[in-house]
Amino acid sequence: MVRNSGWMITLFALSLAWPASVHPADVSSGQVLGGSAKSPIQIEVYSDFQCSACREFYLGTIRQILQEYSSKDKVRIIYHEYPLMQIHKYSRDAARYSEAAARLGVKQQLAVMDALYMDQAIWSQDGKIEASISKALSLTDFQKLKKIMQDSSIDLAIEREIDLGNKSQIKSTPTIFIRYPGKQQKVEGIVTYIVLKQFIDAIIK
Amino acid sequence: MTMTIKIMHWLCRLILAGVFLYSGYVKAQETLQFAVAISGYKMVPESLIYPMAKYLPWVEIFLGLAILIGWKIRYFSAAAAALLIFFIAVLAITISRGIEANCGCFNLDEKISPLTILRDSLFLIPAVYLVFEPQLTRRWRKPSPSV
Repeated sequence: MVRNSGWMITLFALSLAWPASVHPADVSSGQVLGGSAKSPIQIEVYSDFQCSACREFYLGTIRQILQEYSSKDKVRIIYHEYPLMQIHKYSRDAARYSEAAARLGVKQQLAVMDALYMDQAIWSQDGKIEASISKALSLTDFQKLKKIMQDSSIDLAIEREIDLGNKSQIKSTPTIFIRYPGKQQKVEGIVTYIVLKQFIDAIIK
Repeated sequence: MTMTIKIMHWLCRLILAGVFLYSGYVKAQETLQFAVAISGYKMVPESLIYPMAKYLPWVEIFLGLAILIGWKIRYFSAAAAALLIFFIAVLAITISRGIEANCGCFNLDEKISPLTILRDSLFLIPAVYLVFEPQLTRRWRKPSPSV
């Protein structure tokens, strides 16, 4: 019994020391939607505007997390463009609008992201993304956005995000990296608001 | 015969303990991915998904450790068998409902299929053996009546 317990404890200790197979992403890129570097929890999302699961995750979970936690600097949310162009014809165009809106400010970016996800079913059919964007922004911001869209650095920024996603071994969207003191978890798929809330509350309590 | 019985005992113990320790470890490391897998089954109320994802892996680790060290081995093997039967039932119901869920078994992005049911059913063999070991070995040890 004593002999058995010895190697049992060794095995258990080894298992705890075994590192999780999570590949950290580069925090220096991406679009910060809320929170700050001081937030105890950081959520990084690799997302595609034409993916329905990404829509559900953004509108059902992220919007509430931004309101409940990021506004109190508890959770920092970073979005990365990861358009799956092989299956989603207009996803890269949508990503370009989002990237350009990020250069106008967080408020404008959120307005554009809301519009892109809420009208996803419409522009996914005909690719007329601009119609949705024009409703979400003021005329001045919309004009500015159109000017920014002509900048070639927008495409370079998206390329960088895709490369980063590939390095982080993204296989599907949404893929989420959650970092909190001493740990990191990679999640593929939709995490509902209630589940994420319980998880966050357990960390920051 | 005694050596065969000993080998059988240790083989079953190591397989069952290994399965539960490994499965529990993987899930305990990736609580949220396991929570996503649980929600995919569409069986558990949303408020219970995270507590289940958080504590079930530790139940599995506890069972694995108890079986490994041989503490109340028949009781904990019975508990392991009950848990496996529960998993098999959940998998069967989900497949019959036509839901494409992730298994959440070992590799957290593995899709459920009849093969996952078969695999879990095979793990029942060592669990059932350890529960009924005294009865089975008594029968094997019994000398055949001389004529």
